[in-house]
Amino acid sequence: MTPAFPKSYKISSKPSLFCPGCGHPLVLTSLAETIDQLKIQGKSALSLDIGCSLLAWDFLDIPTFQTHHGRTIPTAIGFKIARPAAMIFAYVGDGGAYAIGLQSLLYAAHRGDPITVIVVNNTIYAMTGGQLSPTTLPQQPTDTMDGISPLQGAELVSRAAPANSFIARASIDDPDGIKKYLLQAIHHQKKNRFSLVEILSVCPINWQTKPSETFAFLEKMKKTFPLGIINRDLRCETGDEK
Amino acid sequence: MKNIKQEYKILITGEGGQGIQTVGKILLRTGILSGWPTSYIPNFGVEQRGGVSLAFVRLKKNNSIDYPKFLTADYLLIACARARRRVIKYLDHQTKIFNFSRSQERPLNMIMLGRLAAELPEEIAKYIPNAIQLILGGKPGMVTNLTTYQKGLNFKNSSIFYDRHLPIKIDRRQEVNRAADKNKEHYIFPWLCKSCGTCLYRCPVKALHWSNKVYSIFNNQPAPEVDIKKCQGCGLCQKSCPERAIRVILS
Repeated sequence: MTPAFPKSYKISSKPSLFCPGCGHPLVLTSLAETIDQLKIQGKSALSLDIGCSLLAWDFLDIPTFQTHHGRTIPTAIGFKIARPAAMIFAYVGDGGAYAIGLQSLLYAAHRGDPITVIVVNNTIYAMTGGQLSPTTLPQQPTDTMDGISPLQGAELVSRAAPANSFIARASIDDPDGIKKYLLQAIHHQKKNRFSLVEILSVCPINWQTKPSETFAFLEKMKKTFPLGIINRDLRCETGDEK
Repeated sequence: MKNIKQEYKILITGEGGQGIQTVGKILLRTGILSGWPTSYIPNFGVEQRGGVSLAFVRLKKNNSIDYPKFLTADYLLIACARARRRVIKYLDHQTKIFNFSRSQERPLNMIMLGRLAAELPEEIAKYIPNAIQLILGGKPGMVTNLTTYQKGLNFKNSSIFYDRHLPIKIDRRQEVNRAADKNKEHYIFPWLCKSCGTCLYRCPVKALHWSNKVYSIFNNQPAPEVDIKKCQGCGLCQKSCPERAIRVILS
């Protein structure tokens, strides 16, 4: 009996490099299952950032590349321009998307670049020890200081993005919800539209929480970062094309 | 007639470091000159604090560059006795080991390179003198480097050995713990588990508990165990495990 691994998993790299209880493998597994469902493994690529996202460098059996902090999205756009038929996923954390990479992300959304951005939001800079990030909740203790005012990044991007892009937020305690939104995001990319899926994730190591506290904090995050679809082009679902 | 392999995974190790990394750089340049996609990386770790230096070189025949680090080396060059213990996890019974730790020849890295070159196919090895000149050119002692390399090419076979005293590698990847009844089967793979406790927390009927027999990947932390009578077969443990260390199949 073998584990329930998706087809696009790289089995030789398991168990993964992520910490015990990390949310990243759950996101990547949902992505792998979505890629399997749409049978696009042969034309998918993954673009990684600095931070814990780079630990996905050998996670999936698709071409994966990694670049400077905050430049994941422009690199993914470059890849897409060179390979328009490929499906590119820019995999970033909340720091790489909403801090150092915010300018690139806003303009990618503004231009409507045909990429899918997956933002894994765990409210801290985890790789470097759990410092304050743009999405840290008020009074949340971090390595540097308590949180003050979080940024609702997906809502901000939806202001800049054209009306036909797909922007949604999911959470790691519902992997089926992640897959549902990733599916719609890929459909939007196939129609050359911009898509972003922010996924609320956990970091029990830096939060220093037991599983019960971890998931209680995730529920608290959902109040500041509501789940659901923020923006979408209904025509992409029905298949109508203008 | 030497059999040309598709891939050569070479590990060079010794103390000091610069000589070791120079061999790595020369092999990288050689691979590029011969048209074989090659990659090389030093090990980044405690080497600067007096540890043993490692250089990983990977030569591939087909046209795709691969990540230079590997699990098991095809060839191992050892320049000092301490290096042998350091690299034991990169060896298996097929690794060819060239142990020069007792050699009095100097420069030692050139002798090792020469001995290795006698194993590599001619289409690669013929570029090594060019690569030596490119990497070490202009530095004093160039002639000594080249002549020592030529000497290494002609060393006898007695300096190779295959290691018969490797620690037994226990392959845990076959481990699976099964619990089943007429409705469902529940599998736990302890070699994937990291004892995070997410499955225990998420189970709606608290059917999972920590085992007192089975360890996770950490040898002081338990893996979970299921009480199949309480288990409902909902599969939430499978969905919430970050490593897919649980599998639930309904019959």
